[in-house]
Order: sequence, then C-alpha cells, then structure tokens
Amino acid sequence: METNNNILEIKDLSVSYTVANVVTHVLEKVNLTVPKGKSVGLVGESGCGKTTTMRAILGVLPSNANIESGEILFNGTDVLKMPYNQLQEFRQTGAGLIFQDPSSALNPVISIKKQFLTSLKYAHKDKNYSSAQLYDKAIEALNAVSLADPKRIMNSFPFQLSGGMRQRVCIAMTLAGEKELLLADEPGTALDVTIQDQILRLIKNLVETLDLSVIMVTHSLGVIRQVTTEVNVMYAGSIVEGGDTHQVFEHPSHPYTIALMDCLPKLTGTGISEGIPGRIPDYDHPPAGCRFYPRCTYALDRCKSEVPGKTIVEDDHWVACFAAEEGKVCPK
Amino acid sequence: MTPERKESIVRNWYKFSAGGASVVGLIIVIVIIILAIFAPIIAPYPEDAGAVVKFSESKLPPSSKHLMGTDTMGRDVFSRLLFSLKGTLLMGVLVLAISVPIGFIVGVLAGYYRDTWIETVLMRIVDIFLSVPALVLALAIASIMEPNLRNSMIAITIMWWPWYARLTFGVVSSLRTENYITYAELTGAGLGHIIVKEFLPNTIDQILTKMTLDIGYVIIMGATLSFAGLGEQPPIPALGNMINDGVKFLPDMWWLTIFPAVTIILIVLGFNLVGDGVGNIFNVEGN
Repeated sequence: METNNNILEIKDLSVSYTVANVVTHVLEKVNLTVPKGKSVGLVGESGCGKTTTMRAILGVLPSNANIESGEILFNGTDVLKMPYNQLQEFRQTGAGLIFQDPSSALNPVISIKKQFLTSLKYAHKDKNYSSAQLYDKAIEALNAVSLADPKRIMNSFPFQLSGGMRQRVCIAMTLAGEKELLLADEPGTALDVTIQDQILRLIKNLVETLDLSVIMVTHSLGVIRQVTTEVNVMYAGSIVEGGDTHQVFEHPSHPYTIALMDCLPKLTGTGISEGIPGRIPDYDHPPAGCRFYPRCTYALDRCKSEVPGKTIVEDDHWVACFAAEEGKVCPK
Repeated sequence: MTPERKESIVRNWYKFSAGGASVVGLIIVIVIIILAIFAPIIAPYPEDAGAVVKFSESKLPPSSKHLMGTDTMGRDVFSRLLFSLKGTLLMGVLVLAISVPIGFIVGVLAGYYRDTWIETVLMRIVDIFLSVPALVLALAIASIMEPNLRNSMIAITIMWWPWYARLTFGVVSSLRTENYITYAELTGAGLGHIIVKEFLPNTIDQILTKMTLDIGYVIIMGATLSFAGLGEQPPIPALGNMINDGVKFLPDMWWLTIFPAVTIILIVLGFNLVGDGVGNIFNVEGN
C-alpha cells in the first residue's frame, strides 16, 4: 500500500474562515504528501495559507475556521476525524510544531524548566525516562541550539530572556520531543543568519539520524534548496507546483514559481528585481479559474474560468497551469 | 528557605507595605482575628453571649465595668460584640472559599470554549444572576430558607460566584488566543493541565486581589441580611442583629448601635487596605 511510505497525506483540504459573517475561502483543495524520513518544503508569499495548513494538520485552527472538505491522513488515520484522546496522543508523540512567532509561545509566569520538562514528559511518555534524564535531554537540546549557559536558562522565566533566546528555547523544546513529524513554520526567521544556519543543520541532522519527517514552511527559497528533498509551491491557498526540489529549481514551470525565483536578490547585484505585480487575491471573492490569473504574464483565456489540473513536467515534478501544459511558459 | 524564596518575600513585602496603609489594614485584620478566636477568654462576661437577663444592669452607658455599655436585657455589649466576630469572619471566608472556585471553573470553561454553545449557556446563566440586584437576590434567597447563619451564607454564595465567573471569563478569553495556550495544546496537554497549569497562574493575581477586597463587601452583605433578620437569630449575637436591636433606642442608647457599626466599618476598612496591598504586589488596580 502506498500510504505505508507516507507519514502524512493531505487530500483536497479546503479551509475557510468566517470573518464578520463573510466566508473567506483560504485553502482550496490542498494536496500534500510527506514521505517517511523526508523533508518537504512549502513555499509561498505571506498570506497564502502556509500557516493555516500547518495549524489544520494539528487541529489548532482559530475558532472561526471551518474545514470544508478533505482528509489529513497521518500514518493512514484521518486527523480530522480522530476522537479527542487519539488527537491528544497524536499531538503528544506524533507531530510537533515550531511556531512562526515563538516569542509568545511560553507561559510568562512559569519557569522554562517546568514548561520544558512538561512538554518532554508528554513527548516521551512511553519511554519511561526519569526526570533527571529528561532534564539532561533538555540541557542537551538547549546546547544544540547554541544557547550559552543552559542551566541558567532553565531556571529563568520567559521575560528574562531576549526574543531570539525564547525562540531558540521553543525550537529546542520542539526538537527535543523527537516526534515523528516536525512542522517547522518559518523556523529562525527572527534569528541571525549564523544561528539560523545552525538550526537548519540541526533539523537536517535529526531527519537523517532519527528518521524524522519534516515540513519546512518558509518564504526563503534558499532554505528550501538547502534542506528539503521535495518542494511544494503554494499560491493563494492552493499548491501550484511540486516535486523533487532539484527538478523544480532547475526547471520551474509555473509562472508564479518563475516570478518568485526572479524576486530573489542576487549576490551579483544586478539591481532589485521587478517583483510580481499585484497582490494575493481577495479571499472573499477569489478568481473563478486559476487564482494566479490576474497577475500572470502568460495568462490564457481559459485560465479565467477553469481551474488547471496537474500536468507532469518531469518524472517527479508536476505543475498546475494551462500555459505550461501548452508549452508556452519558458523560464528566462 | 532558599535565598530566592526569601528575596521574593522581601520584595513582595516591600510592594505590599508601600505607603503604610496596607500595614495598618493588616494589623486591624490580625487584631480582629485574634479577638474572634479568643473571644471566650477575653470577653469579661462570656455568659452574656447567650439568653441571659440581668435587669439590674440593663441599659447602662459605657463605663469601666462595661466598656461598651449594656443592652436592654443587661448584657455586656463588648462581650457580645467579641462573640459576634467569629460568625462575621466565617461569613467572609467561607462565602469566598466556596464561590471563588465555582466562579473560576465556570469562567475558565466559558473562556476556553469561547464562541461555542458552552460559553453561551454558562455566561447567560451568569448574566441572569448578575441582572438581579445583588442584595435583592440575597434577600429573596435567604427569605425562602430558614433564617440562620448557614443559610445566609448560602444565599450570599449563590449571588457572589457569578462575579468571579465573569472576572475569570474576561481574563481567560483574552489569554485563550495566546500562543502558549496553543503550544500547550500542541504538546498534547489535557484540559486539566491547561486550566490548572496555564490559566490559573495567569488569573490568580486578579482573583486574589478581588478576593481580599471582597471579604469586606461579603461581611457588609452578611450584616445586612442579619440586620433584616435573615441571619443569625437572637439570642446568638451578630453585628447585624445587634444594630437592629439598638436602632429602636437611638439616640438615647447610642452605644447599642454605634459600637457594632464601628466594628463593621473597621473590619471592612482593614480588609480593603489589605486588598489594596495585595493588588500592589500583583500590580492589579483595586476598585
């Protein structure tokens, strides 16, 4: 069975938010697969639904979100239909999330030590570690994210640490959980590049040594290229291109992916690129056809009313675009 | 005691005692508690707390023999006053000890399950209680039960918990969207953990401050019920029924009314000053 190789499979997930009685369709039929022991990238502009996808996987969407359709299969079980106990079990040992903004992810009136040990106690509950062992594990994890003097940090309260330190504490907490699936929602965006690099290495290392699977969410194409083996490009709530990271980077086929890559500042210093004109569509009234249509330079007439299906570009690389299907998209 | 613990006690005492008023309040409260506990020893005429009649000594003004005078039946007002303190303090403490946990649990559940039917049901019940004037509700509840101290406490508890439910609801529903609550859910923490380990420590400062301020109000409410004849029944002394007994004889026998009234004022003042100090420790604005 195919599902045996995939730790996570998202099928046709649609999520909408109700804001002041207006339904905004944010995620539109998202399909995402994470093979066991692989790291998969999810890349896209701000507001395209990356974080919503991550939250949907763990069932912590805001209360005004509605899951309209779809399945999220974790090792073959639908997370959306799990009873509360099983969902709790899944969160304890199955999947962990590194927050986009972890500086507020720590309870301000409880010491780091208590919070760290509680979270580890849940994550390793079937391994019967003593609290001294858990403490050592915590110290080790804090060392791994290059926090100096981990013992002092353990005895501190969150407000005694700087934003970057808090972020690293959160990353350490999630990584030390050693859960099967790690959802990294822009890890290290607020950290300086050397530490960010170190954390990415750490994640990569964990994937290799502990056979973890990772979904790496980021706007940074560089991170994707460095860390992941597969990539999914998301635009306005749907995935428009996906496949093997190497192939996608070599032959980007969706106009959006191409434009996104053009936006990267080059070290050669050829000036600032033109960017992508326009902005992410209004989710209240998204375009009926391809959601990228209003901004697309290759737009065809049928793009306006029809949603493009998957077209295979290479053996492990697909794209959802009519222009690409007809061979009209050619990267510069 | 660890040095950190000692340091935090010193720091909290500094915040509490800033301005000095709270220390005065604390002294008043401690003195009243001691008087209440040792009433049978301190009182010059302990037997006067019951149904005693000494017509030879009735209606005497304050003197060295009877510090606060005697009532119409010749009982020593000072002794009766000391015996009434226990019920008064018990009223304040027990009512809060029962109504605060109830209010907290209702508020925390409604706040955590905000925007669901659970919130709607719980908070509408709270609203119903809050929409009736507190004293009217307490009088109504107390009057349908047999009048005694226990039932007046029940009546006040029934009208008091909704205030804590609303306070907790307000705090929790704003904490609800904090990342650390989501994070706790993500680590697989259960509802019990989230309530006790995440919400409670972030709400306790507000609750404690309100509690210390509320003891005084509960005592006034209790005295009011007892004044209206719905609290402790004569001959058992209570501040409220002592005032009620004395009102008929104003202004001639002023000592029957003034001393219990001043005692109520002192108790409430003491607790309110302590409440302000506790609020200073937690940086919560008092009311």
